[in-house]
Amino acid sequence: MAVGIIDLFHVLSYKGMPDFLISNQGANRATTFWIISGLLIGLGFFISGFIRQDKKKLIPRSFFSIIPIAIGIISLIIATYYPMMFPPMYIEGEGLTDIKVNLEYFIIILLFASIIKYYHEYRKTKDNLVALLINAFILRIFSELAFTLYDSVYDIYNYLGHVYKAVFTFVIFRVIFIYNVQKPYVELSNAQVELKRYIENLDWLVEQRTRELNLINQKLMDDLEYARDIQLALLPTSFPIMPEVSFDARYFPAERIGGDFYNIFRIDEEHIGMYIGDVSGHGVPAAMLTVFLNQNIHPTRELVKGKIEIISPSEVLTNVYDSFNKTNFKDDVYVVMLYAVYNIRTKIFTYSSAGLNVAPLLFRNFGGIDELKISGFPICKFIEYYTPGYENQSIKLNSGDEILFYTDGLTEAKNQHGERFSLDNIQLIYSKYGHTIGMPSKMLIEEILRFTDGCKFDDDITFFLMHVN
Amino acid sequence: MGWYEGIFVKRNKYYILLIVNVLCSCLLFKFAYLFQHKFNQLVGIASFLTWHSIFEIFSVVVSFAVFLYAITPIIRPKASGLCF
Repeated sequence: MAVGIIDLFHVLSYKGMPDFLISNQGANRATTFWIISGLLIGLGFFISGFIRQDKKKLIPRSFFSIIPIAIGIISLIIATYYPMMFPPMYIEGEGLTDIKVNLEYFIIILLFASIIKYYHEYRKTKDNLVALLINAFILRIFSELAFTLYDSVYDIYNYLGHVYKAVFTFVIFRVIFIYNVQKPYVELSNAQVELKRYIENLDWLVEQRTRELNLINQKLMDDLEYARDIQLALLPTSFPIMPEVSFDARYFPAERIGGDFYNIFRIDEEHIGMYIGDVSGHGVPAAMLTVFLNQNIHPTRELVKGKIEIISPSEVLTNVYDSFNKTNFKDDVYVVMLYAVYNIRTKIFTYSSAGLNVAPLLFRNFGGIDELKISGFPICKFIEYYTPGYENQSIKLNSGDEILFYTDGLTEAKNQHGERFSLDNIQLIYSKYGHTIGMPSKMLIEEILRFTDGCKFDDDITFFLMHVN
Repeated sequence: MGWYEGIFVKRNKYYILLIVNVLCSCLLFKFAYLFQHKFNQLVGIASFLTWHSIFEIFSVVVSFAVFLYAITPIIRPKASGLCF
């Protein structure tokens, strides 16, 4: 605005114009205004070239108004009433003074320096507005050149210089207008077009993403199915067949694959080993853990001369605990299980528990029901702080006795009303069908399915029955 | 004009504008030199003052407009508005 104010004084004080404060008989005052205006342009744009393009600062508008008005008024007062404070710019009859011409060259140098500064910026940013600004400076340089050449303030060079100045002014206006008004609207318009295009394609994008997700999901389900097959392959498909004892087992995973595991196997002619357990969590990690357990439960050890020794249940669990603590499983993973060995000759049933949270039920042939005593520390990564002392428990069984081994999924199965399948249901079933081999497990399954009535199991349901013949 | 020439012009639009600007200006100055006496005969003082006033008032109006448009927290256009 400072330049605008001084230009106004320049036009009002031009030689030949009506009086403006004082008589306009000479050209010196108007030329002085011209030089002040030119210097402001040159210095202003040169300094602005050093200001970063995106630098922001909130400065009150009034502050910006006062400065140019003050510059304009001070220039007017000095050029009008104290012209001796400025060197003469134009001497009537002689033409331009050297100082005026040199000041014009100085302005040209400032503009040229601005061009260099803005050209560097253009090479970095490729901003069209900067390029336009450079062209404006070229115009202004020619304008200033024209003003070094004129002899009379009415001659062709003076006229040409003013034409150039008008064009320069228009280009500057265009740059500022585009930068402040047009550019934000163009950007907004482009953003709206982009948004519209995005909205139009949204359905298609959602459809495409859904298709991709379905494909990934299908692959995951296939992998889960495969993992389930592996886990099922690890469960026993048949049980030891012998006249002294018989077994029956069932397994229902809560998800496609679960964390429960069990096994019944013959150790030698007299001993049968068995275990049941649950690992923390479900899904693939839990299933992989059951694979680890399957590989690390060793019921016997080889002694010298090829002699085989049966390892006691507590020692088996201790070995599993040690093996588990040598793995890289996460600290929050744990296993609860019960391991047992049954001697078919002595009918001694020896077992040890590693934190199994549901006690096996012993149904006596005379009708009584006992819960086997269980204790013991779960198998987890705690060896640095605690060494569990697993204990063996032994009981003498009689013909007709039956033991139900199960995991907590059995007693925690819920129906639609949120009621749990309790121990009472198990006892009721056994009291009805307990004396028929195979019947309790069959009826237990039927009863659970009836009880849950299609409700999804929250946990795996695993159980097996050992019947002493 | 082939497509490659079109791309060249588009990419170097502002450099071309700059060269045209300089060349036209040089040409104009040459004309001014050649026709300066003719100009003095054709354009009288009154006519000159009228045109001078038109050009300068245009510049003044634009200067004020630039100041008004420089309503932004970005310092550079604000400084330009202040100065210009």
